[in-house]
Amino acid sequence: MFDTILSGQIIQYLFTGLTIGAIYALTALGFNIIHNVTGIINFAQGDFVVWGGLLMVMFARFFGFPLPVAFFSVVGVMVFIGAFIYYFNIRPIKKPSILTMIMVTIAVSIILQGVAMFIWGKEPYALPSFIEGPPVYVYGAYIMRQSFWVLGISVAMVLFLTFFFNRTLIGKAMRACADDPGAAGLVGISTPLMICAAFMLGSALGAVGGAVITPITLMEYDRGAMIAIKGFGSAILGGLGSFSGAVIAGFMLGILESFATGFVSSAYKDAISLVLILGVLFTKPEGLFGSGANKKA
Amino acid sequence: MLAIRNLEVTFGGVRAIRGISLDVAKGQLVSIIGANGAGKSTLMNTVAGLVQPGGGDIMINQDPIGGLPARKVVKKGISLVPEGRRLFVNMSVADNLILGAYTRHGKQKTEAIAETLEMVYELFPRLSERAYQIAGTLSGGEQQMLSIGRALMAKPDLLMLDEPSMGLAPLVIKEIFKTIITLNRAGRTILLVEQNARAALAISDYAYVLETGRIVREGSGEKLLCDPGVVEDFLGGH
Ligand SMILES: Nc1ncnc2c1ncn2[C@@H]1O[C@H](COP(=O)(O)OP(=O)(O)OP(=O)(O)O)[C@@H](O)[C@H]1O
Ligand SMILES: [Mg+2]
Repeated sequence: MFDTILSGQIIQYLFTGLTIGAIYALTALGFNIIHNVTGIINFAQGDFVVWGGLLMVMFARFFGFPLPVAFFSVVGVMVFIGAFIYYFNIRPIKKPSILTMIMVTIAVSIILQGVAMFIWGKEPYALPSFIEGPPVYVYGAYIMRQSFWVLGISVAMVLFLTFFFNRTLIGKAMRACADDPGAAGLVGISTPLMICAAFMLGSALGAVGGAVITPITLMEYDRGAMIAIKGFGSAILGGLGSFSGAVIAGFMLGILESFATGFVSSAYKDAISLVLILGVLFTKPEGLFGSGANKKA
Repeated sequence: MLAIRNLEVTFGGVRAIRGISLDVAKGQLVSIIGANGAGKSTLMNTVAGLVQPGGGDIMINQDPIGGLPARKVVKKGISLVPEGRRLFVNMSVADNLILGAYTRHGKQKTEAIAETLEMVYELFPRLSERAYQIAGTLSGGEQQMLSIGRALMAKPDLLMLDEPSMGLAPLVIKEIFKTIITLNRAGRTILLVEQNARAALAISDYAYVLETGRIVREGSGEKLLCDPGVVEDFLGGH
């Protein structure tokens, strides 16, 4: 009897962890895409998630768009915002160094947060599940229907990105810029264009995460920093630049937090995951799965 | 085909190229030799658009290209095989070659690009055996072949090679030189930079000797091979 209750609980935590972990994974992928092409850490990545969620609320609840229309509108707007950020913030930098570009992304993060507060105010917003209905009963656990959406869309995004970077010419060109921007120029690839594409893809990816998670977690203007820290942590744990590492580490971090909340206290969940991230940074900075395979040779 | 007039390049006040003029005619194999630090790579990189000139003109088929970024120079028909190969080391051999034809995608039929790929694989059968190997794991010689193959994928009018023999074993160097001759016999215009002066001069129609950013001697390959000054400085003279 006790066993089944416990196993039901474990499945419950596992699913909660996978759901929140999916968002960390998507955020980590966003970090990796922009890092791989530019070498920078985009501190606005968490704000893309916030904007995705809040725009989804605006389109679906206030404008009354049907959900699929709202979803693709959010992606479209964020692709545009990504290009806008590149064009007006990254491109004008006279002497682009890694450090100046990182400073600029911090500024962009602050601006996005400020504009979000101006538009939506400080209160958290709720969004109905993509498909209404009671939680689904799985082996003694009740799983919210939205969780399946989060997991399904995350898996779809990972498959899409794998295809994009391995099979399409523009995806390959972006990877070439990551390997050697000078050599990319020699074959005719425009590095600025690829950086712009990375920002468009990164912001769209963040927004997808925000749009699918908001029905579960709500969303408010200043959530970006914590999401960015967890997503960045996942990217580091997985080995910065590694897509598969980012996904695995994101899910691990989500599950760890969920179990920490369940068995210890929700008050400690952030502390526990940050201790893990710092621990890895100190002892194995190439990431848990880092073999150096993703490093530049 | 390529005409350079009074080219100047400075790095933070230091003049690396001091008024160089040279010509490469269609179908020729022209080489540039010179000691370490003479400015050979700087010259090649400036033509390719990786380095911005401080003055003078660079023309390809009467079309000025001085100051254009590399991605636009390659569209004018000039491909550089850079010093140190500079492959996309985390990508496969096939992807490196596909990206070599980046400027042709969307403009030309895929069959035309596939044809060039076939030609490159025929030239370097080793690459076709290793099409899906990651470029960074190739041997030095194979990497050099891939770098040349990648440049050829753009179907350049002018192929520029910066020290293709660097760091390779004598047997591999022989192979690379043979390839260069084959390409030139097939009508390809080539500008070659080499430390390996004797081998380079022996296959060149014309050659220039570079010293601290200036051309100090020029002439046909045979003439320079017998030039006492060149023999003294570069050919371990007797
Ligand atoms: N990016 C740069 N910044 C500053 N100085 C440079 C730069 N590139 C080259 N130089 C200088 O310009 C001069 C010519 O260098 P370059 O690389 O063209 O020589 P090289 O003839 O190719 O030599 P090597 O045979 O060793 O390859 C050198 O004094 C070098 O230090
Ligand atoms: Mg050199």
